[in-house]
Parts: sequence; structure tokens; C-alpha cells
Amino acid sequence: MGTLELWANGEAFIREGFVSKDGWALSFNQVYVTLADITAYQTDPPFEPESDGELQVQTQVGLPGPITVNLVSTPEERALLGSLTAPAGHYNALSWRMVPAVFGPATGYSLWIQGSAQGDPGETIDFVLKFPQELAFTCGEYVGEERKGFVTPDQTADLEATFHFDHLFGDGELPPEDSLNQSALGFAPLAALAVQGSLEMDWASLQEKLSPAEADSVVEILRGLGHVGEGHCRETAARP
Amino acid sequence: MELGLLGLSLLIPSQAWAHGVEASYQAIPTFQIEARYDTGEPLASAQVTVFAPTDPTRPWQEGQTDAAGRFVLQPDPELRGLWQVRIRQAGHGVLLNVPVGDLESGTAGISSSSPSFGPLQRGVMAACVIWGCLATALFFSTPRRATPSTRSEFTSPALEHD
Repeated sequence: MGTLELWANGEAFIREGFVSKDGWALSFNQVYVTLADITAYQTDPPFEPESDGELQVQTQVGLPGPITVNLVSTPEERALLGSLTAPAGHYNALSWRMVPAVFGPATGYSLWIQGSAQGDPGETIDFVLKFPQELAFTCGEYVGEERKGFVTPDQTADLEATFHFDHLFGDGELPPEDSLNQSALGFAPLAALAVQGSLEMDWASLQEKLSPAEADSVVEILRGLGHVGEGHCRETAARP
Repeated sequence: MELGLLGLSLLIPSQAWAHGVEASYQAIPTFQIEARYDTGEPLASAQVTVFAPTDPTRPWQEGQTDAAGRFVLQPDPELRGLWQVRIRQAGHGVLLNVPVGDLESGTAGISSSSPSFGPLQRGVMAACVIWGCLATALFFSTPRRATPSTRSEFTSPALEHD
């Protein structure tokens, strides 16, 4: 038996801030995500999230949760969800559900984003965006600089649930025609809803205020939020 | 041609008396991998890392795709099993599973997938074209062209932006 650590990562976009596709400089104070049924699998054959195939599970270990983490204030650039004693082998698939938090400031919301946006000089908007959606992600192997999930006896391995927030706001470092920016909401539609430099809205209010196309795009963006590094996930909305 | 030949070697020694030189040739399986975004744009000059089934943690080969997003993999045919090819570029990544050896009828171990992602997600498609031994031998002796009866494709889209 070895140890498998499970982490959540909002990437440098969240920790360090970034410029949205429409030129707003975003910084983040709190970004809470709540995960449940976090399960790592050894599968054979490898799970392909973009196919119709199901997980062929050989071994699995998991954390029931729900576990709420702040993706901004993490001492190790990512948030530890928990450590598991796990049979040796390669854990090449990971699944989790995003569910509403049951305690703390994000109670009732699976995703809580609090930050500040700077547009033109002197223009600042403090914002809080609250999403209650339940989402379920089933992912294949972590794809990144190194391979992950190889548990060996008496050693520690890790896996990571990665959240791509540039999909929501876009990336000002990419050209406007880049497909990421073509599909991202950006921040300008949210800035237009701010009152006296402040915006605090839950999903129900956002749905009312945004255009139908913008609201639909947010739903799609949330469905694509979960990754394993650069690797893809299959999402099934438990509750839209 | 049957892909069941994959992994076999065709070794034909030919004797040459001058200076005691002997030459031979051997056909080995060749896999052409093509990576592109679902927009059709190739992943040009993408980082490619190949892992052999015997050591999935240590790269067996590293390289990059060409301008057309292509990479030719020639695995050690003695190392049968699932070879894995990781292709990455600017936050986009895909892990392609390439079965080597014990293939039957050209489809064993080959998967095909249809992207189920929404229209707002950018896909990376990685396709692998497999030649068997005989086709590989022909590959070196005839102009490159598709050989429908001897090739199979599978796609493994993955995608996205960091």
C-alpha cells in the first residue's frame, strides 16, 4: 500500500490574477469550490472521456466529502483535498462532483468567486459571483509536464482536479480570434451589471441580467471547467 | 494485409561476398500520429513524449510534431503492450494510447471516439495511422500513400487551454 494525495488547483490564473479577453485586470480574493465523491481509479483500458466508453475500473479509492477549498489561499499553489491509503498501481482516472458547500461563506454554492477587476484607469469593480450548479466530472489520466498517479508501496503519489478559469473570462494574452476567447464570456458583460463599482450576484440573478446567449455560454463554460491538468473530463450535470 | 503481422519482423539476409559485407533489412511497425485542433488547425511543433509499456514513467522518446502536426512513432516491436504518446502545446494536451503487438484484423485495441464536448470547447484531435510490417516495407520502397486495407485510425480528442 502507498499514499495517494488528491489536490485541487485553480492554476496561476486564480492565484496571480490575469487580464480578461476584454482587457479587465482580474485579481481574486477567494475562490471556493466544493467537491464530493472524489474518486481515483485504476482503469484498463485507459478511460477516454471524449468517447462513449465507460470506466473499466480495476481499483478505486476515494474521499466522500463534501470538501470546500479556497483555490487562492493555498500554501503550495494548490489545495490539498485529502490523502488516501491506496493499493499500488497507476491511478489513471479521476472523478468528482461539484456540490453546494455546507458550511462557510460559500454555503449553498458549489463555486464562489470573489475578486476585483480593474478596467480603465481609476475604474475598479469588486465582484462576487455565486454558482449553485451541481456538476459531475469524470476524467482520464492527468496530462501535464509529468505523469501522475503512480502509487508504489510506502511512497506518495498525487492526482489533481484542475479548474480552468480562463475559459470563463478569456485570456488577454491570446488573440481575440483564439477559440478560447471566442467562447469565453469575458468580464465586460459582468462589468455592465455593476452598480457603483460593485457586483454581487448569484446564478439566478445573472441568468436574468445576462442575455440568453451569454447565460447559455456560462452554462457551457462551467461544464468545461474541470480538467486533470490539461487532460479532459466528461461532464454530466447533476442539477443545471 | 493483416495487422496481425504487426510486431513480427521480416528479416531477409542477403549475402554479399565483396569485402565480406552483409546487408539485411527488417520491417518494423510504424505509426503516424497526427494532432490537430478540432478546427482543423494542426498542432505544429508540439511537444511529443513517448512512453513504452515497460516504463510508463520514463520517456522512451521525445520529439515534436512537424508543421502539419505529424509525428512518426517507431516503437520497439519487442515491447508489446500499450504505448502512450503525450502531445502538448501551449496548455493543450492529449494522451494517445497506441497498442503494439497482438493486433488482429486491424481493429483490436483501436478505439474511435466522437467528441462529446460542447461547441465552446476547443478540441485536440490526435489520430494514429498504423502500418503493418509489409506495409512498412513498402513504405520505404514506394511513394508514401494511404493503403486503406492496411491502415486503421483512431482518434483521441482532448483538449483545452490552461
